[in-house]
Amino acid sequence: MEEEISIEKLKTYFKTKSDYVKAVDDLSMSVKKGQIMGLAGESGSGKSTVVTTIFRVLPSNAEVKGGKITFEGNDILSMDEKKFKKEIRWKKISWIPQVSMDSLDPLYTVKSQMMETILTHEDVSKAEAAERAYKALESVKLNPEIAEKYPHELSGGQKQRVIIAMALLLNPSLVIADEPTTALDVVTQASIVELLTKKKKEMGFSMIFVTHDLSLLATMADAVTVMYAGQLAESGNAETIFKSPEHPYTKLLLKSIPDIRKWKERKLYSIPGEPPNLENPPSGCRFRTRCPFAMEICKDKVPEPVTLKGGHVVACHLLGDKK
Amino acid sequence: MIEGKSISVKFKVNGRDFQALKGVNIKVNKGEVVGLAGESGSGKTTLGRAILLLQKFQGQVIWDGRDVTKVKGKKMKEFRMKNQIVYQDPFDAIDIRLKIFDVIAEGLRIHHEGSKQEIRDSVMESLKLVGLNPPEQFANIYPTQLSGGQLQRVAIARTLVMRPDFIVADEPVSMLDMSIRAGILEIFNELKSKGTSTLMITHDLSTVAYVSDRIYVMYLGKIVESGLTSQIVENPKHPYTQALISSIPVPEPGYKVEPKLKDEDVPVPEKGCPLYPRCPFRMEKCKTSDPEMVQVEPGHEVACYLY
Amino acid sequence: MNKTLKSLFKRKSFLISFAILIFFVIISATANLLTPYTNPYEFSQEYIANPYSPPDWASIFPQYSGLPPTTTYQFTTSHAVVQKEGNVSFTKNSTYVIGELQGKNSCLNVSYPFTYNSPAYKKAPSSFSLNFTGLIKTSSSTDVQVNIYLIHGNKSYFLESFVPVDYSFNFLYPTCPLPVNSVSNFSIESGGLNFVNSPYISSLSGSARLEGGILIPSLIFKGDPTSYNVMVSVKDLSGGPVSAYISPPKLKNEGYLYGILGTDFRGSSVFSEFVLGARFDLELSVATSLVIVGIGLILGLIAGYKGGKTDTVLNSVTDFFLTIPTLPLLIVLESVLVATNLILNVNKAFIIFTLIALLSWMATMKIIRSATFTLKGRTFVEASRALGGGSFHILFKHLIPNLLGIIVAQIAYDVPTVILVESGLDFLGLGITSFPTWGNMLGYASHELTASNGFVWWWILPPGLGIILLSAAFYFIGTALRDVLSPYKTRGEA
Repeated sequence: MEEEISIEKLKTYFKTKSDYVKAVDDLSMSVKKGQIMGLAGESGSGKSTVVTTIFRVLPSNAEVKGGKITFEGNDILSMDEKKFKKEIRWKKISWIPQVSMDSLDPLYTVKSQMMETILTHEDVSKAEAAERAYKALESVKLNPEIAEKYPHELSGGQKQRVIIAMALLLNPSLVIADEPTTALDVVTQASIVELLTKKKKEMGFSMIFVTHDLSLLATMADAVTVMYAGQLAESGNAETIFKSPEHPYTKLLLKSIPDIRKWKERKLYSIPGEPPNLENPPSGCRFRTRCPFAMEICKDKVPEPVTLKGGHVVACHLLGDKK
Repeated sequence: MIEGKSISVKFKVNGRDFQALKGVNIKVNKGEVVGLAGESGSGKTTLGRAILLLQKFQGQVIWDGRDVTKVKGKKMKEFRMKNQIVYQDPFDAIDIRLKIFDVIAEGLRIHHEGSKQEIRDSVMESLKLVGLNPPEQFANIYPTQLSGGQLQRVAIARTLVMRPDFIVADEPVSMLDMSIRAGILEIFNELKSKGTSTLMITHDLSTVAYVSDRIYVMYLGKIVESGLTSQIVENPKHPYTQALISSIPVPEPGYKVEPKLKDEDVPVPEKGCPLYPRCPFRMEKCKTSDPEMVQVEPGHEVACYLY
Repeated sequence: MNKTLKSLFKRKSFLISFAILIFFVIISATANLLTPYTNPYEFSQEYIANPYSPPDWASIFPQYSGLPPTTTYQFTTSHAVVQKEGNVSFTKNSTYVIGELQGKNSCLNVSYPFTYNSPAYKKAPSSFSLNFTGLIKTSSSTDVQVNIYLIHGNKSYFLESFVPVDYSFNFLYPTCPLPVNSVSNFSIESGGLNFVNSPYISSLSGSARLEGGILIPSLIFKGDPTSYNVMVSVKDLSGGPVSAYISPPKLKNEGYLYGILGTDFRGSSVFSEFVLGARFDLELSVATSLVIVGIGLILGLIAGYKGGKTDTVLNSVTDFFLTIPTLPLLIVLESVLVATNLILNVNKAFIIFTLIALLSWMATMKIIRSATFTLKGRTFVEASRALGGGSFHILFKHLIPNLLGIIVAQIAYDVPTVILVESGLDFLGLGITSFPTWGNMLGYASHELTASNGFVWWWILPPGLGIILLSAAFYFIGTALRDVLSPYKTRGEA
């Protein structure tokens, strides 16, 4: 299958007073056309930095230290900023951020914000833009009356739907959803997930769905990438990741997720220790400090990602001989 | 053990009254872990605070058979000692000016419990209890040097040092990474075996199901269903509970969540069942009057006209 | 604590400000050692040099070169050269030359030589002054005459005489009668022996007097040779035993250059005004600032912590005070209270202190109130309550420690405010006028300079720069302390 976007050896570092925080270090991943790629990781894993790097909205203290992001045959990291803004951002790659106070401008109505998005990118009349805004709201199952409202008058779920409608306004080919349901209730989360999968089917875009909640990915993702401390731990199709994970981190993480069907077991697992400090990460494999299978080699060498059958990539020394 | 009777709380929001709790009854028995589930804005945190007398309310709180709603002075101190709370955000719940030792010792010092050495021993013991080893090392550092998970353990240690009978745990793991949640929940499991009861407030039924004996489900300031964990999880009766459970994602590929409720597009109704605008089974009756809790099987109560 | 200090000293702005503050604190603390004057505005401490004298070091600039400096000669008994006539014996100790005179017309001359390089200067000093003390012990029926001379080359200028009553007709003025048959002190404390009060003038011829149309004694210090003597002569007129205790004199030329910072229009030392003003301004502003923050803290804490009606009332009161135009009201109150003598026997500085404190606490109150609101909403405050902590516990263990940064910063921020208001009042002449402050230094300067034709920079710049530097230093120190002492600020939280 053709690739929508591919990331090669991406390094995004944050500058601190004395050093660099290696938020994303040598990450490679790709998203196939028309698929939903789940990007999972805990806080500090670098998953959000990947998103801001792709969308080129990194804060000023961040630097891309290396790597390539290929989208439609071009490296979008080396692309001219003006060109990227005009042709790619929002138009071809759009972004659904986490719902928060500042994801919509509190000074403007929903309609005017949506119309502005259309008018800045496409040469259409105001009437047509308004028409499209109404249609977009309807398509995310919102009452078109909402168009005249201000963001503070909306509930969390409504706001998230508006944000989705805005992200899909320009028919993007890649949608990046960055923890779009984290602040929402389970019931609303379920309906948002349903909406996103439905829109994906209708419009045929590809999607990167970033989340800390692996079980959410199980319900919707075609492929899953698990990150740990800025690096790739494991990636593969959803079936493989959930049914036969190879990386110890993925295995333990899956065990730590509560499954309501198994509540009677009354036993949850946790991974000992704390995620590492990325200003001064452990040598070799960054997971080794918490890994029950850590070996001598894990200290000395960063594990290279190994590709197993079916595009299953694992970065762990345990697989050293399976190559 | 501790019981809240018809607890109502009103807030003033932008000059208008907002009924956060509408006559809620809740009871936690000795040595029980009780889950209190609901979405944000359902009033579950307010209920937790009211039952600990941290919030003005109408109604009654009965503790060990005594009405403590209006206690003051010495009796209040006794109540405070034995009933504790753990908050959602450990970063906000701990004064970062204090060393960990002083954070944990605060309660004992307030109540003048024990000599310096006794306080020291208690603090070290409770640090060990929450798994911060070696305790001496953790006692002497500042909160800024700890991660969220470790801070939450400190926050729990702060309550354990008082040897409480009852703890309100307000979303104690929701801010923490998945991989360390189990460790925190395990502490409450251990407490239960020592006879301490817990009211665990959560928006995440799947987590609380692992540790709770009974579960209350709240919706917009009302308890809509209560029962044993098995009854709630396996046999939910109220349409909201059903929707809640069917919406919980499960780590199995291909598993589909089903949103069973309509979206909250409509304002909260002034009267009638609060779920009315979103309920798939709504009846004419639901629009005008609010259903009372009825027992559907022993220990399992539902507030819905379907039963 | 160590960490706090470290992060403080990492800031350049703090270091510089701290150095400035330390400088002013040191000169304030050592003011009494740095300057011999206690209040340069007092009459006795004026005319220590010619008015508008630039500082000594200003002579490096061409327009001030060749001006005579102000020189003080402090002699000791070891410098004394003694001459005697008749039956006289003498001894010296550290404070006196002690002569024993026996027999009529026996005489003791104690002289102190000094040099003054007059040819090096363009003009003579404006005046000179001499301070002298002594003690004459006599038995009964003994008459003694004491004469004081200034000797330049071969000329003797007769300055002063102390004689028995009977001889007083010999001199016009002042001839201090020395009571006979008793133990007596004599002293000269000259504020400037000039042609009005010096008996030596009367001994000059008419033409000499004309020549001294200005201060004649200063003309002594003009021309060769450069060696001089000041001499005390004691003469026994009737032959009884006389003990004369003669202390070394203190002699001073009042020149056209003076000290570190020159003189103002009174001829008072600008340096001592500056130093004493620094001490006064620092003391007053820090004390006032403490009171301002005290009021603001108490009201702000109560309003913020209690909330509800208490807050509404306190906040309205604060708003009321905020709407009052402070400086005009201060001016009115100050002039009414002082001019009408409504308050008697109260230090003017105290009135100013009280008025400024009562009219400046509002901003602090508002800041503390809103900070308390924010803090009160934080979970750890409720956590403390849930542990059983009472209001007192929460206030003193959580709120005040967390407000510490703001409190300290407010104290530092209010200091410049007070300095400016107080200086403004003094400048307008409504504040303190009898004692130097930076404000009234500037006030006098601006008033007097309208009449003088020059930019008296040594008088204007010190208080002006002092106000600017000290205010800026306090501002930066306050900001640094607030940042370092507010833990939630450093973590990027509110």
